[in-house]
Amino acid sequence: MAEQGSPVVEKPAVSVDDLSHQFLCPDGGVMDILRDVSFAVREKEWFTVVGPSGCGKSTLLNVASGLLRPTSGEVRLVKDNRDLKQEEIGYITQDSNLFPWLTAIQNVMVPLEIRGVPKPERVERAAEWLSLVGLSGFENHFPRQLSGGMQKRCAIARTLVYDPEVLLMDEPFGALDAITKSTMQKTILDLWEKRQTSVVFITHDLTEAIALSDRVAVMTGRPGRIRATVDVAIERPRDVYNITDLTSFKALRRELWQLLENELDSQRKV
Amino acid sequence: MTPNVETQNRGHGQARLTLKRGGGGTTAAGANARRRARLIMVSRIAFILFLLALWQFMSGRVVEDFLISNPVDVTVKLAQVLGEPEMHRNIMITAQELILGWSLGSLTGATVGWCIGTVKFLGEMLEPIIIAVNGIPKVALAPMFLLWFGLGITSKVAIAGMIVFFLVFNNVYTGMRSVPKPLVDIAKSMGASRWYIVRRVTLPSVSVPLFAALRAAVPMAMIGVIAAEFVSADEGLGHYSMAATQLFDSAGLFAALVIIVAMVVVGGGIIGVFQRRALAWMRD
Repeated sequence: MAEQGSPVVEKPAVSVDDLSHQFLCPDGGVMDILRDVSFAVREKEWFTVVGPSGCGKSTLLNVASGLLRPTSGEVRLVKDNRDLKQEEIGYITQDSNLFPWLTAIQNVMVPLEIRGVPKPERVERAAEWLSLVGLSGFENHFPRQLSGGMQKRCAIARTLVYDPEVLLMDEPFGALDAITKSTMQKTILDLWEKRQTSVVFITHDLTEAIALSDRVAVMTGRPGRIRATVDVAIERPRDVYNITDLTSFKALRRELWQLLENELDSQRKV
Repeated sequence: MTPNVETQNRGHGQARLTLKRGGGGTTAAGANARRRARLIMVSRIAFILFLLALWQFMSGRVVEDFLISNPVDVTVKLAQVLGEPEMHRNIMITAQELILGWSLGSLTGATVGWCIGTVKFLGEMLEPIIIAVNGIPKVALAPMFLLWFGLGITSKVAIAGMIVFFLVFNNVYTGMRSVPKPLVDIAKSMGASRWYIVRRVTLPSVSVPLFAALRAAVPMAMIGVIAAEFVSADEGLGHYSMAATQLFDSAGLFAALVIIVAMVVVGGGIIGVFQRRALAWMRD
């Protein structure tokens, strides 16, 4: 099932073309982070990138979210033949990054406030999303009064409340314990299945990658390149809690692990 | 530059922590916490009474009375001077110098700190100069300020203002540089304007070191005012203390000191009320 590079995708929602990025080191040297990364994400597709740590996965999303200008190449987020505006992109980071001085509901209202949504509608929509992620009753709690999982739910509500066309997620559940992680995966998958957006998801957890995605790309170590892309042909809706029992899951996991393992071996030889 | 951030440690923090840990026996834990708080308060008062008694005992027996006076004499003197219009005038003058100096220093310090924190070029250019100027013991400039601004209230306001300026400037400037970048980034990724980021991210973030500085500035401003009055003045609490010392009136000196401390405590308390209201999100 593995294919080198990426297949031709018609009318992609996200297209990454020959993306390369270098950082200047403090000692004056140059470090290659990403080299000639290309892939395309279909509309309403859940696309996941896995790879060893330090391979530039986060840099990839920082470029896609518009926070970082790449050294060369480009990332385009497109809908109906036009480039998306900043406000149409949702970005969920590993840290929840809630504003500590705002309550849960005020945090969720921030993107609506930025878009100039009138106050009564802001409150209504924010409250609705808090209840969708299971935070009813915590509207007026400050972030420090919420557990890690609840903070993550609040961050998800804050992003989904403005209905982004493309959702970028950078190891969103990386810092959570195993049980919280599973419930969060179920929550996000349920929400996504209701209104499918195009997703670029980054993780180093192969189980998570298979459970959530339509396609998984494996990246090489630094400088990061796409080594292979694998289709996940497990039908939806999926049972996140028990997906590891499926034979197709096991085969996929073995395949992905081999790709990753080769990568780790070749890194060690260098 | 090291941030001059003062962390708040409120007396009841401990009690609340115990209450949370209580689990099922919340009321029992609450009662426990209250008992502990009462014990601390009683011990504190007992300790103060002990010190006062020691002072009273030592005075005239171990140390000459005219050097350290004693609590009874100081209380009598305090009650007496508080009834005199001359002392009312001294208090008003010193309070005026304190409030004006504090306000002037806070306003200019916060403004300049904000500007230099915003314009990166200015910050990089001025930083070593500011560190050098900050190293001057400001009180040592008091005589020069008297020369420039005369013997009246202006010179006292100026010296207090300068001390407060550096304190507030330093905290705002370093606070501007330590606004959490991930929060700025997330706001940007949601499409926030620069003004929105200033209002919703920079301002609340900087308000933490700002309020710490505004509060710490009250006793600092008082140091400036009193020192300037020591050098030369014909009214104010600093002047009164100096005059009392020259007359070997140690009870008068201590009475003035009690009033000065009370003013600083009240001033700090007022700022504290605003601080707690503005930083409610930080409280446990």
